[in-house]
Amino acid sequence: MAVPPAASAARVSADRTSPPSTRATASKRSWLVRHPTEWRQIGIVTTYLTLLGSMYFFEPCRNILFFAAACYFGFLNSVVIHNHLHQGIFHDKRLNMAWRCVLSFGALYPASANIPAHNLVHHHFEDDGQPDWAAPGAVGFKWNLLNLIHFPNVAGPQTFSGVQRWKAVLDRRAFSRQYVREQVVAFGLTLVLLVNDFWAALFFVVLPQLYGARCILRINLIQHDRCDTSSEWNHSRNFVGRAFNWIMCNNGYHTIHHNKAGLHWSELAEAHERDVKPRIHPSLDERSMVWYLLRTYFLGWRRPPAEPVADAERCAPAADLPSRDEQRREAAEAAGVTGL
Amino acid sequence: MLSRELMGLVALGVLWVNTLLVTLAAWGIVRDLLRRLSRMRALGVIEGQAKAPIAEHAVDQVGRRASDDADRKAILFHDRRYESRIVGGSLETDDAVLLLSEGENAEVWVASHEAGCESLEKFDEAYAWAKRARGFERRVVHALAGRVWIVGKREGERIHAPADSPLLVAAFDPRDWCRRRVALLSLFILSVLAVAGGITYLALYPPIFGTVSIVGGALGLVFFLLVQPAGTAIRDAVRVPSVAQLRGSWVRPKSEGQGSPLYAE
Repeated sequence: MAVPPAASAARVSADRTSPPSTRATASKRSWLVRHPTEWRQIGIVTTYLTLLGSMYFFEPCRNILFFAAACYFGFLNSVVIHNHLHQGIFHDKRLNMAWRCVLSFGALYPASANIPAHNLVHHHFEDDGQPDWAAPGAVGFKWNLLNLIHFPNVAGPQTFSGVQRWKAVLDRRAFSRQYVREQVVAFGLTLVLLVNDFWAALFFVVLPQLYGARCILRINLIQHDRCDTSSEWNHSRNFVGRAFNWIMCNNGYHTIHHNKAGLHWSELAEAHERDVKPRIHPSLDERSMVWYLLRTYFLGWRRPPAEPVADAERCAPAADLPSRDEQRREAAEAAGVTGL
Repeated sequence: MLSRELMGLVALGVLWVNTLLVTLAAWGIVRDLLRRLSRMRALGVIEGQAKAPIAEHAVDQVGRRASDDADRKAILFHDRRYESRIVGGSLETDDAVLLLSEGENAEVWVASHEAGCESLEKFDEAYAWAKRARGFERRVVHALAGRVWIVGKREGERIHAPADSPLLVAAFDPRDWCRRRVALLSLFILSVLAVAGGITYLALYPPIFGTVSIVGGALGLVFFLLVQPAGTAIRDAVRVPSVAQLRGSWVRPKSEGQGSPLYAE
């Protein structure tokens, strides 16, 4: 694994759950990528950068179709950041680090921020006595749509100030160096584009970048709002549509991702059916994210009341998985770090 | 075809929606503080003298070795938990001696904590823990005695927590604290709106998309990125003292009495 020690924290428990045969087969298939499905992620990022380049350089491409696609792929670029920071796409460590820089440009934030913000803090919710930097409680407007729009304004700064505090302690110099490299590429390249053609860069590069980065923050609200983050299985909302999960690289299966953080994203659907479905409240197994968003934020005015979703796991059979406490202990021991 | 004019409007729309949401969130805090002030008016603020500690405020912290301490030794602290507790006792006011019961639901407001390091030995011991994954755990406690302000329900000689809120015990007048925070937040809201207005004016300065307009657009982007951390910074700055962040650090001087003193910030 080419991910640095800190990044490995949230996937410790899962490495032993990935069938060795699958990993071995995947390794044989490609000298470049670890798993054949990674080409989908590379394709997503290539498409996104092509869309940005087309709109920036060619005026005929500055249309609603390209712009909407660029915004959507900007969001998918952040989904790839999430997956890549759990399990590097490539065999080669340097290539993984360089890929982080490419992804950072796509999202206009350093991709490595995901290690403390997502892998180490968000995956453990409030288990460390620290609030999750992207906890749904960060917003509290009565009109629920405003919560969805405003959420990144709070979760974003909390994340980046949290990362600053995280890298200020213990020996995190390697992380800090990579973090700076990603900032230089992301902000430097964007600045060059702005200097060259300000309005084209602002409208057709920066707006999709910001849209993608802000949407991935919103996902935290969408996937955890009104769930019971203290429970073993009912802490997350899942979106299980097949087409949605194909393009989202299975990021709709969020419960199993939390519980087995190192399981490769291509294996999440099967694990969700097997381990999660018998233990979660039916309301946390949504077919369509679009319908959920419409119902929750557009067709209703107020935030819907929370349900006792964790009741579902109390009457379900016990799973052969370590508890959250055990997972957290293992992760901390493996990475030599805890929370902040 | 997406024209510059249309995209300019979209960008300005995004900027303003965002700005208004940040100010609306700040206004929400103002509203909470005004509610607190009105509760204080309704219940009355009792000022008195406590000869012995009547309440405690504690912060649980974890200290970890600073990553940049190659030529010095430093421990950075992070807060884990805040706790307010009534230990019980009496409060002498101008006209009576009032009693507080231990364990009341309470909010304790202290002005500051003594969170510094007592000695080099203590530092070295803490530093050894701070290098480990678990960190150096400590509890900073401030006992409240002397001049005290209380907001609660008075029944004869006893003060209780009202049914709908905790008993407030403060080391300073909580009304002044609330008023100052309301003023600060109001200033923040007005400043943010004024800056957003100024940037909009520059961005729309004729000829639109000319040099001045570009300056407005660039400032708009910078403002969009900075107004968000400004919003969370002001939110943290006005957190009620019972849950205000303590954090801080210890830095080891070369020897006792030399160089920078041990301190907590």
